[in-house]
Amino acid sequence: MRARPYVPWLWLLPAGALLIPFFVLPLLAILRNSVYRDDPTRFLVPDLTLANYVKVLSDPYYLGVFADTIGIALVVAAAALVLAYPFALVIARAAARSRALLFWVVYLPLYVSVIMRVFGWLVITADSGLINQVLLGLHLTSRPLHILYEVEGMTLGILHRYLPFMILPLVNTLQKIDGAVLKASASLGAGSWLTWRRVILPLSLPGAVAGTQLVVAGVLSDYVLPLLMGATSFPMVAPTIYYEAATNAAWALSGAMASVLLAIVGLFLVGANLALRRFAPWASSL
Amino acid sequence: MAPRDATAAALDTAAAELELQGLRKRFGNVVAVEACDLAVARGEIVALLGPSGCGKSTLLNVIAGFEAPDAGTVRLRGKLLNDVPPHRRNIAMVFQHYAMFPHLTVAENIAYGLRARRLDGATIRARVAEMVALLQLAGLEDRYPAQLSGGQRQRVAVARALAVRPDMLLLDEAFSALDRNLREEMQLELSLLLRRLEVTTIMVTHDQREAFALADRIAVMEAGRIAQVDTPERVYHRPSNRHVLCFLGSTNALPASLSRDAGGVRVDIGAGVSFRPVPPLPASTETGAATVYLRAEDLSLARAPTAVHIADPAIVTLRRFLGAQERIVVALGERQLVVERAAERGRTRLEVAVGEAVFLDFDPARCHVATEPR
Amino acid sequence: MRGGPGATLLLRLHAGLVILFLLAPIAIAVACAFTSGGFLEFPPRGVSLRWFGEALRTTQFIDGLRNSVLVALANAAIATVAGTGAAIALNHHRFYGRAIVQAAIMLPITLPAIVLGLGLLFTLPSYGMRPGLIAGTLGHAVLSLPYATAMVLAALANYDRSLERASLNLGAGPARTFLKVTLPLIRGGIAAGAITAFLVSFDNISMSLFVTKGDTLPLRLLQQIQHNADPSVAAMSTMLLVGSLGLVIFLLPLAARARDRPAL
Repeated sequence: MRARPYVPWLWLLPAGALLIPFFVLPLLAILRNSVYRDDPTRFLVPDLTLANYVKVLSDPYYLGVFADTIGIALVVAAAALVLAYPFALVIARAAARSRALLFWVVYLPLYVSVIMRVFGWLVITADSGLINQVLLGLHLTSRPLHILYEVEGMTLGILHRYLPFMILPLVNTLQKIDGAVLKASASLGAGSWLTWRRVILPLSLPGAVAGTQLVVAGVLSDYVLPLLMGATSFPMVAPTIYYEAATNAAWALSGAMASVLLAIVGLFLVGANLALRRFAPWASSL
Repeated sequence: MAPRDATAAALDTAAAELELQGLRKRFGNVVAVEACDLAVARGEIVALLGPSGCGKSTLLNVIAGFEAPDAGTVRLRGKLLNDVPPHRRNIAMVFQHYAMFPHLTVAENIAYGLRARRLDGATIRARVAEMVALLQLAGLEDRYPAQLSGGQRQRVAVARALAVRPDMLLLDEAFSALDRNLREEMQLELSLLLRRLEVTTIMVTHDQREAFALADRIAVMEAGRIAQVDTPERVYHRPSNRHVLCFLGSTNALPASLSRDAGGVRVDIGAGVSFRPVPPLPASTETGAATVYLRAEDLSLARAPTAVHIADPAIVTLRRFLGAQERIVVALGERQLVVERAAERGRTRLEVAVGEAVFLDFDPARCHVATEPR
Repeated sequence: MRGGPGATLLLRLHAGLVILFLLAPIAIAVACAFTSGGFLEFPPRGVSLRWFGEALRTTQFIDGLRNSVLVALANAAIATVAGTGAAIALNHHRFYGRAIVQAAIMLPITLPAIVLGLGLLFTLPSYGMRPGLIAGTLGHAVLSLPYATAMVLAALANYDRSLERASLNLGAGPARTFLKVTLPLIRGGIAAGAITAFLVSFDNISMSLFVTKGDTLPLRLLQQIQHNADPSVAAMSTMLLVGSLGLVIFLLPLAARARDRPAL
């Protein structure tokens, strides 16, 4: 189609009208506010300063918030990988009908409101909840385990929420493995274990990386779960940002925190892609 | 070393390398393979040739161990393979789209089977180098499959399979993904290589040229059964049934009628073409409808009536230059016949143009007459 | 691919545990909604529908529901229009900056929603807007846009552009071609995008926190849990679940069928 060069931009007009004022400019506003100064009396003062960044990156409290959140993200990603991988293998190998059913099971938590999922976890992990009922009933402990409103409970809820994000990319990648390649491996003398270790595992790497990216990015930015299931002694980044912005009206500080969060997420995503390209150069052709 | 044109009879004396007996495989209600028997000698190249759906790929998969037969046995050097899993059969396969390991370099692909057999590093390196030289892959050892052309990938696939020194090599439509010139070049190269190495090979193809180019014997398959196994020449010139006859070469099938006269049975194609079959049909043959099969290259054209075509000339409707061949289509009454002949230049032969009237000539001995109607 | 029978058994067992892990909290939450007691507990004490009635009588919930539906519908409309246009631009045209535009459109999914919300909070005053339903709609639309675009892009990938060329070749102008040829063939993807946009908005919390006055349904439920967690929240959520599932079960296959219908 001998299109005139401005035609694609016409098509992009609605998207641009939405994104520029309500996405691009807000992001720029965050950056701008982060270098202004919070003043308790006059709200946001447009004095250019890096004090907010200094505070976020050197104050042990804020550093701790970021470090703790990153730690949880990595723990959840690792746990999700361990849980998801065998499950993804089962899904990838399943017959079409079973696979459709399994996909429903994986997608369902995503369609359920996060409120409802938290609900379920509240009931399961509360001091009088399901887990403790079972433990006490079987006399495995003498006092209820405090899981809810502790790091452990919160992590459990977070893991539950983000597990599908690890399962789906893994299944996707596993399904893309050409069946003929598996047959070739067998015909060359490699049994099931060898075929798994030397063919399936490396070829599933891109899926694992994609899943890790999704999970880490999600956990770093999660607000609801830390808020509803977290421990006051273990603040996470997103609730802290909200607190500073909405309750403390510290727009500059929250802007700085948001910028740092953006940077961390961005660095992680890009870094993971670069690492994949370095260690699995063949993956880009898949 | 088995003779290059080993026939089935000769196999009775030589020990068969691979023996298939009574193989049957069905998928649901569909019978893919039925009553297949085949004996392959060491160093022989046998082609499973047939149209899509004839069961050739299924048979190959059964031999490789990817499918378990419902009945029948597969024996390699006398040893029963039925319950042996594919990775223990020492039968290497080259796949239609090569099934390269995308995450391994060329050298690592070739070494794969050797590492699976836990050979030591020095042996592996030497064997890989040997294969690289044999398949002319020098310089490509560290490339990934995505960086190779189709022809190069095919060489790697062959190198990878041969590296393990398999008891048998299986080729599954291994040339179909290449374009025509490259295909013929690779077929030639591979056939020389396989003979030099004396590798017992079974190849699956729907392309008769490929089968003729490589195979010592061809097993023509149709609807799950092996219709005929023989050398390319015998399968071509002495087809055992109508399907083999029609599948190979370019065959005209013409409705005809049988009649009896003083000299015996006569075949009449109508429009002035009639002949006595050679060898003659038995006197007890029923008169009535029949079908005559004539290969396109067995027909020739003349300006005047011939021994077989005495009246009602045919009209030339199409003439095409095909490079080495010339194809002429003539209308005989209501039927079209295809005639193929070498496209020589300058020699004395009948030049024809569209619209001209010609007479057909052929040797009745080259005709096949089937006494039931098609 | 055969693994030993032991390996398969272990894998199946693991899969069963994962399924249990994924579904248990949801099943339990639903079960709690049917309790006849007054608290959130499991196993529920008796079976009763009283909390469903209670939830339907709670004005905060009903108002919240109405607001959420309005916002979600409006957001779906905006996201679908913008997403379809973007998908066509990206799919049909090679232009300078295409990769950047595609990355920019997909960015809202990868970036923390809380950051997007914060930024909107900062910029709303300069547009003369205050946190509310309109701001919420626009914020949600930004989040839904990548999904809508991706769905329409997928539909475009499956469809044959030579149909458009045929239409032009036969004398139909570009506008007519778009309306009569392109649009009908990708309407499955558009529908899928609209439904996804609706669900994204309906369930959203992080963005709504900043740009609404706390009057969407998820936020109302959130407030209820924080102040006085009782089974009415479970009941409301269960009804929402049935609604979303119904939407997905009945509408998505229609959208998929339309998307996969082979071109004539």
